[in-house]
Amino acid sequence: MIAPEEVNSSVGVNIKAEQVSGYRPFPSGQQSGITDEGPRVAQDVFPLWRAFEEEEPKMHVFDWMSILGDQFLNQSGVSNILGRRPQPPVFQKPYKITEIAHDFIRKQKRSIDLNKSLDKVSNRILEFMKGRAIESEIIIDLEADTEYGDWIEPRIRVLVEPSKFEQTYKLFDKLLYFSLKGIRKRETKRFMITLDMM
Amino acid sequence: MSDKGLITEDRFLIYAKKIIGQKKIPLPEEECRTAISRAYYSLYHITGSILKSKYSFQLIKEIRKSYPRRRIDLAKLNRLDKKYLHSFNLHKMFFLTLIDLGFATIAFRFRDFRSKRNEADYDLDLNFNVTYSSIIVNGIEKLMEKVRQL
Repeated sequence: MIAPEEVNSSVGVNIKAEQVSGYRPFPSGQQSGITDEGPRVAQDVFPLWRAFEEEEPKMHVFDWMSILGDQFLNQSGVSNILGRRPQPPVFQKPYKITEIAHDFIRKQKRSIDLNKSLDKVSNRILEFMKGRAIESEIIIDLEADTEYGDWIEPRIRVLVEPSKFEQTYKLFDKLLYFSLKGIRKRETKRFMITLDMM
Repeated sequence: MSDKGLITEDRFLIYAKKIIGQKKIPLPEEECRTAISRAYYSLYHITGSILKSKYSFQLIKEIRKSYPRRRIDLAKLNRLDKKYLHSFNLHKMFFLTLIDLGFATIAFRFRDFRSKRNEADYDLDLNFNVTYSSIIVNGIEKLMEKVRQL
């Protein structure tokens, strides 16, 4: 007895119905075994291949940069919650530093220590001058000894108003003592301080 | 060379003071510059002789530390051979030795005067007058007194 879920086959082989439905239906040409539809298939493939070859230079590549641009980020949930990325605060330094000196310091060993020392000493000098009511300005530049190529170092140039230059020179010892206090010996060997007229 | 004896360190300073003490008005700029240069060399020589006589160990140590790649002739360095010492940048060595000895204030003032001397001799764009030169020469003289007391 043939079960209802089984399909009768003309060749007497029983195939389960679910098994039959699992297969994709054959194209009409293949069902009959006649290949008169064959050339049509080949024609379909050829233009597709040609089209691919022609469009190769125009390949669509995702422009990730534009996707991840500001517009995208601003629309994201994270950006909406946190707002714009916080910018580090920029403090205006009370002295100037030349570009060449900045580059030189950056390339030195232990440049962070040197930078800290220069910053500390410069600020103390300005504090000292302010306390004595002497108008002054500080520029950190580079001093290269004209006779010895191995002696190049950052120079804290203290510019003083001409009328107070002599007075400041007399105070130079006190100024140095005040500004170099607590600075490591190792660091004091790496820069110089000069008094000059504005 | 004079047969009356060797020149002393302070003779350059005396000469510098003689220049700026002239009654010429205005004092020519080259003389103002020369005064600074001569005065600095008095300071340089007095510093050198004090360091060599009292702090030779620190001076030698500083030279060896500052020239790590150079093959040093220890025999010549240890006896502070004059010609051999001139092969090093002694202006720098004096500055570093003074700092190492803990005389940072003197060292920085010494370095400032070295810079002033370089400006006087090499930087023709600057203007030097007698007032400015007098301040520098007097400053050098005071520093020399301090160096002598080290």
